[in-house]
Amino acid sequence: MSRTVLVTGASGALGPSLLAELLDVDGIDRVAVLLRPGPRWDRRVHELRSPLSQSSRLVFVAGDIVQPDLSLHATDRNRLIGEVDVVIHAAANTRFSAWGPELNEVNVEGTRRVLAFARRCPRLEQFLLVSTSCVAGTSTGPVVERLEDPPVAFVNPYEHTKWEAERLAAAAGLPVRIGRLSTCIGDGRNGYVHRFGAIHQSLRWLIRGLVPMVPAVVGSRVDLIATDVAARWLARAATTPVNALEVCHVAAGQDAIPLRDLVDCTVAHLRNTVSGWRSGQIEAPVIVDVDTFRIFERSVARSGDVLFARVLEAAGSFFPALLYPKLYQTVNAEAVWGGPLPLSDWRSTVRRVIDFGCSRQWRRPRAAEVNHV
Amino acid sequence: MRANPDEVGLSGVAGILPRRQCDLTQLAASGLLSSSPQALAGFGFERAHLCDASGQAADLALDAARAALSDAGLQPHEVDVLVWASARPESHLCAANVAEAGAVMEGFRYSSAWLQNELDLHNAEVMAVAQQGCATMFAALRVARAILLTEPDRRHALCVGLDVLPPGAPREILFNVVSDAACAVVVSRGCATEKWLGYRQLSRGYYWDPAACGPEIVAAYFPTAKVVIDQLLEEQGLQPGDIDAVVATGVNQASWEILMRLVGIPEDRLFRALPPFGHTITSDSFLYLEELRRLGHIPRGSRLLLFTYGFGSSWCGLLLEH
Repeated sequence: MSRTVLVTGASGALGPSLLAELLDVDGIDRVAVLLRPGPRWDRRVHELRSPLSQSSRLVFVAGDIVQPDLSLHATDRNRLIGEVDVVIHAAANTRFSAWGPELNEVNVEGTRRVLAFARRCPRLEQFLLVSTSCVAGTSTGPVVERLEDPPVAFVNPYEHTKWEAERLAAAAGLPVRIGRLSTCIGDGRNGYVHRFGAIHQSLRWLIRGLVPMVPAVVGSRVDLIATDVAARWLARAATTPVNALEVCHVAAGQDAIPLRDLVDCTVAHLRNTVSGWRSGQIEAPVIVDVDTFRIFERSVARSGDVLFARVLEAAGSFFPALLYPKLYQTVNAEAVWGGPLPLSDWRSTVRRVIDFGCSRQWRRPRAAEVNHV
Repeated sequence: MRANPDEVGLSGVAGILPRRQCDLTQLAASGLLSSSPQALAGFGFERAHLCDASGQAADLALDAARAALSDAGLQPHEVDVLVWASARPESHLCAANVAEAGAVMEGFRYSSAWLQNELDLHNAEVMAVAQQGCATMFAALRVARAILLTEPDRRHALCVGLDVLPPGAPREILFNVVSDAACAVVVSRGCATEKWLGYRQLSRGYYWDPAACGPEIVAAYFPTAKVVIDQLLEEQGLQPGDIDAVVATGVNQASWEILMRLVGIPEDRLFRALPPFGHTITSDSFLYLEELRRLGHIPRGSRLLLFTYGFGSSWCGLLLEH
């Protein structure tokens, strides 16, 4: 069967990998990419299209999820309504530190608008919402693959808005699959990162020797997956039928990395590759209990030091995950995949991502550098 | 307590602060602070001690040396070695009395030699250590001990530390309020008090330029301090709980709170029993050690840990048996 897939958020961290994987799946005839109109439209289209070998099957459509009716031109709208079989809604504001209303406008109201559009597509087989494992907030222990009541608290407004987006999707009366992605660190094959996020920013500070300590509790683990693994899973999910609401954790689950191992692996690699670390001059950060970390945080706040405030802001995006250890169930995700998720070797992935980031000075890759794997 | 003649200890300890004090508000009003007085008060600072511009620095060093000799029960002629210690270059030189003195010759007006002359330490060999920042006095003690252990004719070394900032210099360094001060320690062979158990230092030239890498130094402080203390304890076969007292420095109190937790020594073992005097560069540990000895609350035989960080950068831990 031949399908048309509409993708939102293709210019995000996952976008290039996702498009490449979708074009590689039998049964997907056309990929329509909703791209926000703007002065750099041609450049962004070129950036997404150029690395792909089958780009003739890509169609770029001007549209914006924060505008009524996605600001689609009538011709585009009508054509898409008649053609779209699957919507992959990956567009989101993932800046953890963003202002609540700003996050809400994209993550909640944007999702509401995309759902409204999807309801008008008579051929729709699936609405695939790209969500985040962060919706579990501050809960700890096993996290099952289903919609749950809100956790006692969310670490940041981003998590809250993604949780609300899930609720909207679940109530839309559509065949909905929610893919909750764990932290996508980069391409496991070459370390490519399309958009550096909070974890990369923390890595960057760490490499500069500006992260003196990392908070942890007993059992702290880091659930990381390679971006290409997430993209492959989403592409397969797009062509896997869904009847009722299905929630899937695209996560390392049982294979999440013990924090100590992650720190040791990272430091060992830096000692082989990065000046300052190579000579043993920079020490590894100390893993500390929460109270000690809070004293440090208060101390930084009291000092008014701008640089450390930025370091802590970046760290604050993913350090809290260390304080609320979770074990993500991956049964549904594996059922979609047809077996255990094809996780990459995390050590190699981390090393490659560090090398990639350092080689690009942690700046966004230029169009010519977009992933060619 | 009977002393082993091959053991080295600290037979005399003294620290002297200038009488003149400025509180945080006064320092801020004079433009000598970069952070707000409220922020610095939150870090446990109240004031800075400042030398007058009139050459009081020399008197501080002299007073500290005399007090340490008295504490050790020594006469000047019994001192075999004098080690001068200053982190700041200007403290290695005596201020010129005549403006027309040649600039080149002024550079040879050594504080160490002046002190030898003033104290009549006519049997002492004189030297100086520098460039260890706030750890300079630790380096002086280490040099003194090495001489005593390798040259059996030498029995007592007097280490004198002095750091005085130039008049009008800023009084805040990396969120620490800086005071002027002097200290002196007599290191003696066959001494059973403050017996030298071990020493560990890590020097990281990567951080050689504090003006350029202040944030990196702040971040490196804790992990490297933990490594030094962990290694020092391990070398001595000790656990954190075996340390009976940690002799503080005058740096911001939150950093001590964090460090005690990092190394696993109970926080109530931090000895900081003096009103906040600021951070004196070379003298902090010895101001507190003098007070610890004076109070006599810590039982003999207790293990004392002294730790300091000095620009350069060096992290130093010294383990003593009280």
